[in-house]
Amino acid sequence: MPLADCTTLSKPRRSCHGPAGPYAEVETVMMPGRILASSAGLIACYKGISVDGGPAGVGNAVNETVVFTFMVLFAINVIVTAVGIQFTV
Amino acid sequence: MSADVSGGTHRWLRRSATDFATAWNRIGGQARFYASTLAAVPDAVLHYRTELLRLIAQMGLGSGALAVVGGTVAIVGFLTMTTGALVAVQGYNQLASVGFEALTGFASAFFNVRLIVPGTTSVALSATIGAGATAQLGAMRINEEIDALEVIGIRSVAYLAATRVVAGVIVVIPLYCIAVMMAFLAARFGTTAIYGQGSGVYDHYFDTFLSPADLIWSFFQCLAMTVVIMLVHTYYGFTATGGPAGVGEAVGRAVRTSMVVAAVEIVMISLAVYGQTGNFNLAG
Repeated sequence: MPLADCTTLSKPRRSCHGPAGPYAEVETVMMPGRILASSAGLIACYKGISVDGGPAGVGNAVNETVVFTFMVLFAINVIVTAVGIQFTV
Repeated sequence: MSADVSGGTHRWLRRSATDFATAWNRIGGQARFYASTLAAVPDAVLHYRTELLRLIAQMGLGSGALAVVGGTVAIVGFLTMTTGALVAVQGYNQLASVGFEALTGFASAFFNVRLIVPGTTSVALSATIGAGATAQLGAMRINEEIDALEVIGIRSVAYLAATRVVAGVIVVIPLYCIAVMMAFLAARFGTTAIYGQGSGVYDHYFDTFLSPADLIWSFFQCLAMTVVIMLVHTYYGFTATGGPAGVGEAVGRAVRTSMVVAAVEIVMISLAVYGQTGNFNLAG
C-alpha cells in the first residue's frame, strides 16, 4: 500500500492495511506457528518411534529431531513469509 | 484445625527450602564443572591431541543421519541461507512500501552481520554439535564408560569435556565463514534475482554499509557463544542419569538451556559492542 493512504486522515482507518484486512499480518505470523508445531510433533514422534541402539541411539534421535525440526522450521518460515507478504504489504 | 494449617505451612516451607537449596547446589555444581573444564583446556590440547583431532573431524561432518544430509557444515549453511532469504523477503517488501527498496543491501549488510548470523549460528550450533556432544557423553555416562575412563587413569573432564569445547571453537571458525557467506548470498539472490532489483544498486548499498569491524565483532560473538554452548552441553551430558530416557531428557534440557544462555549472551555482547556509539553512519 502507498504510504499516503495511511497518513491521510480523511480516509477510513481500514485503508492502512493490505487488501486482506487488518488481521492478515497477525495471521501471517500465526500460520507458520501452527504448521511448525504440527511438523515438529510429527518429526519428534517418528524419530522416537523408530529409535534403536540403547542410550546412544536415544541421544542421536533427539539430536536429529532438533536439527531436522529447525531445518523444517526455517524453510517453512521463509516460504510462508514470502507468500503471506504478498497479501499484506 | 489450626495445627493442620501450621503443619501444612511448615511442610511447605521446608519443601521450598529444600527445592531452593537443590537448585542452588545445582548452579554451584555447574559453575564448578565449567571452571574445571576451562582449567583442563591446556591439558586437553597438550595430552589428548589425537582425541581432539578426531572430535574436530567428527563435529565438522556430523554422525549418523546428520552426515547423510551433509553434516554440520551443510546444516549451518542451510539455516543461515533461509534467514538470509528472509532479509530479502521482509527487507525488500517492507522498504518498498515506503519507497526505500534500494536500501535492501543496507539491511543485508547491517542485520545479517549484527543480529541474524550470530543468532542463527547459535541455534544451529546448539542443535548440531552441542546436542551431539550431550548425546555422546550421556550415553557414555549411562554405560558407565566415564567411570571406566577414570578407573584406567584418564582425566575424564579433560579427555571428554575440554576436548569438545576446544574442538567446537576450532570448528566454528569455518562454520562462521560459511554462515556469513550463505546469508549474504541468499539475501543478494532473493533481492536481485527474485524481486528484480538491479544488482548494481544492491551491491552499492551493501558495500557502503558493510563494516569490517562489525564482521570481526560478530565473529568473536560466535566464538564466545560456542564456548558457552559447548560448556552447557557437556555439563548436561556428563550429569545424565536414568537410562536411555535420561539421555534424551538431558539432550532436550541442554538444548533449551544453551539457547537461552546464548540469546542472553548475544544481547550482552551486542550491548557492550554497539550499545554506546552504535558504530552506525547512515550517511555512509
